[in-house]
Amino acid sequence: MALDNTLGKEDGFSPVNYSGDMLVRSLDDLAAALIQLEPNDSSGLSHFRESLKGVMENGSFSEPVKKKLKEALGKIEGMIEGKSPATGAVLTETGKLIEEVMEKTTQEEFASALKNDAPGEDVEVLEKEELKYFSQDADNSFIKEFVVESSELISGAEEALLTLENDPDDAEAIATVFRAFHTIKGTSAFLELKIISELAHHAESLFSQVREGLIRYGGGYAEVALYSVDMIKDVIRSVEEALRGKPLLKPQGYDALIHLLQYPEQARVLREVEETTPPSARLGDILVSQGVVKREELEEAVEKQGEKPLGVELLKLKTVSIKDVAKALRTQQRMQGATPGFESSVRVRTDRLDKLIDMVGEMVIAHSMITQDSMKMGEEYYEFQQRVSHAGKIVRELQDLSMSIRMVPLKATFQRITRLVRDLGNKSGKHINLFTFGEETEVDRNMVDLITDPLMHMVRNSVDHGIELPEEREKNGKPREGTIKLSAYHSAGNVVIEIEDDGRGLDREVIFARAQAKGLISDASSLTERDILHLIFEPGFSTADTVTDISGRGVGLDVVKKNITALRGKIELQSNPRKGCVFKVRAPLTLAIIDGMIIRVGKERYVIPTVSIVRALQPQKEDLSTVLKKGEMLSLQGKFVPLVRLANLFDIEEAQSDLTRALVVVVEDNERHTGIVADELLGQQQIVIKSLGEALRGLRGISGGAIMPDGRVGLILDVGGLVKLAHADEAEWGG
Amino acid sequence: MSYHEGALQPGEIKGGLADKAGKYLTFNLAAEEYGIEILKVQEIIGLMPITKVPRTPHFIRGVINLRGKVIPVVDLRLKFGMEIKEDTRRTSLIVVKIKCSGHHVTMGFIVDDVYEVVDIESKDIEPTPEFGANIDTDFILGVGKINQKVVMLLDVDKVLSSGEVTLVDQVTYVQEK
Repeated sequence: MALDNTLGKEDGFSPVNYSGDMLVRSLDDLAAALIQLEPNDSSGLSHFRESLKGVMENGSFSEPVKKKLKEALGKIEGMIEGKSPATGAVLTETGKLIEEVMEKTTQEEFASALKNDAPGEDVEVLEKEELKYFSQDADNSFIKEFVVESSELISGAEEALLTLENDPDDAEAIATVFRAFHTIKGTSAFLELKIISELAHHAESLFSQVREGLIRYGGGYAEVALYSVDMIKDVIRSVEEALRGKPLLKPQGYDALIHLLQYPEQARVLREVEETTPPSARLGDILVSQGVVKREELEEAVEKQGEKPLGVELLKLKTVSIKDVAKALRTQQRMQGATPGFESSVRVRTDRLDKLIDMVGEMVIAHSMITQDSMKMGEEYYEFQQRVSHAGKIVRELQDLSMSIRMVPLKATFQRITRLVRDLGNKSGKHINLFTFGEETEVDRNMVDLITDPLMHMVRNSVDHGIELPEEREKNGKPREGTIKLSAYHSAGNVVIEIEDDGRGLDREVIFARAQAKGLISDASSLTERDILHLIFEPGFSTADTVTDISGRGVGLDVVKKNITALRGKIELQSNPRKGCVFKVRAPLTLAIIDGMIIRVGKERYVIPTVSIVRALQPQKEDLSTVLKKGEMLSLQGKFVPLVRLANLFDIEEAQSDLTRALVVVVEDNERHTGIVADELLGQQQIVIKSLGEALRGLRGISGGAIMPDGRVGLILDVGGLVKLAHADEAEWGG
Repeated sequence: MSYHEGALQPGEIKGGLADKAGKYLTFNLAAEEYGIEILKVQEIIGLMPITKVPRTPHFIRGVINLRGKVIPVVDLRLKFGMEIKEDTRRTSLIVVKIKCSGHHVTMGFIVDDVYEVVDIESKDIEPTPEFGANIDTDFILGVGKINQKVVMLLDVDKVLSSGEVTLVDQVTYVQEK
């Protein structure tokens, strides 16, 4: 939605000579000059006449505006020529005319701005130029802090705006938005970021009116408010980029938005959006649903309500008893849930946090060594042993705590998705109710960043391909509004996120036909239901008949799957044709810890991530074969799996060389299998991943280090690299 | 004379021997005495279990867990081409923080024995003698004299020199040879 303020596109206006913005400014100048004008100042009067003429000639105005300007000119000329008395009264009349002109042009501007919804093409060159909105002497560290702070405020404001969607009267939410704009305005003004402070100022004014009850949030106001938040977010991002030396640009539609914020009534008038019945906990709705009041009575009360609470008005109209209102209010409170207490927090640098977690990990190891020593001591040290075990409890608690410090709730991600669904729904003309569950579910903070994008993509997919248009839904006997359910929960040390929609579901026939047409598969007989559904994750697969600007370019779900796999996560899919489908993402809570299988080769130990292990077995002699006396293969259920001998690759001495007495761990990467030859399995363990540091970066065959339970360093095998080695040219490895 | 005169930033060490005066940690390596600028030394620890890392140069003994941080360990005897010797109770690890091509890298040096911290004045530092092409003296800042003893002053930033700080790169380098 680009609100470009090009004047003169509509209603037979003559072509624009310069931007609407400049036009208003010159009218502004006129008004300013007029105020300073004295009736007896003849040179001032003639100067004003010339300016007015200039504006009339240079600007392009609609007929009624031109008429008014001419009238004003006539009055001024009359004074100069002595036809009419040069008095203050005539000047005031002229002033009124100019004012009317200004108002008229702004209105026209909006009309064109709001109608002009197509983005892009008619953006003015002026807005593309680099403008000096970035103060050179501002302190960068202040600005950085400002970026962080205001991003938080903005996301808070977004959340509050969404609350207002359901309950436009939520005073706390209004206050939150107001405060956000207010704080951003103050700080950005201090930092001389005029482009932000101006926008925030106007947005703040709008919300101060909402707060004072002068206007009611909703319809056009909501559009403007959401658009303002988006714009501020954009500008803040540009400021962040400007810190890195990029030019700070005034975003498209900025000026138009400022005007809209200044005259929100026009947005309201022009964009009256039909008020959808919110599934909300509004008092009136509750009363109606409880059968206490009729809808008409309620509406009457709302009309007369004014600034008083609805309950009071209803009581005054004697339609309800105080008991009913109180009951409804209680229900309302229950539905809204207890208002969450304000959580205070401290920002801590991540490297300090990581260091703390490292140290706690070390303490756990150090303590377990003391525990082992204390076990060896005799009975006479009973008290000492007791103290060691007491310290152990504290250490364990500390360990849990330190792990939880890095955890953040999925709330922010869910918020972004809520916003996305709302915007996409508006754009595509689909009505969608989004229900979220478990937004308080916590995952590691680095996980949040990585999982958000794939989730957004899947939701976009559900909106675009899953949910049908309202008419189609009605035809199929479904409610006009589509439903998307987004839920998150912990399960077996993983976080599970489900995206469920009640759209058209996946048609296995269509998928199959498409996959065949694209040459992804040739034979259906060996494919299970699941296999077919999972074809949609193949690169270059897209079932949407039309390519929309939301999704459906054939890139997408394969990227989603790749990203999820990179997180050591899994994605599952259930589909119910015509009833909807469920995407289920299962990912570890953190990237810092993996489940690993510890293997021994000679005297060395290595860790293999459990997720990539297919199976482990002791090979039989008849299953083994060699290629060219070099490459060794294991026949596994009719397939040949190349073997990698770690002992040879890593120059390990004293390793088992007889394959039938060794152990083969079959691993998978990118659907290719490889057998890693080891001496034995030592067991499975949760392992904290450590980088091997700058000096050992890029080591082939090893993906990282880990602190083993005995405090020593273990090395984690790079399964992907080993598989590549086994399958591809060894030359790449340099022998 | 003062401690601060020697408090140099890496990269500043050039030419003038006066710049090299300062406090040095001295240690023993195959009966020779060496010194490392004290400001580069993070700590001195006893030998701890080392995990071998495959496909690294022979002088990399492996990696250790330094209180939760994994750091590589270089055996200076092997690095300087001296004969291999069994570790003893005196064998120590000097943890240094070196700077190379913009990276700060923490690593451990295995030495036979750690002696003391000495203050070396500029008048006691001699330039490194030239030994011809056979002996690489790039990483020796100079030769210090303390009470008739000779101490080789190491430039730790150059011990793993010429773009070799990424030890892995060196692997390919070694293999290509």
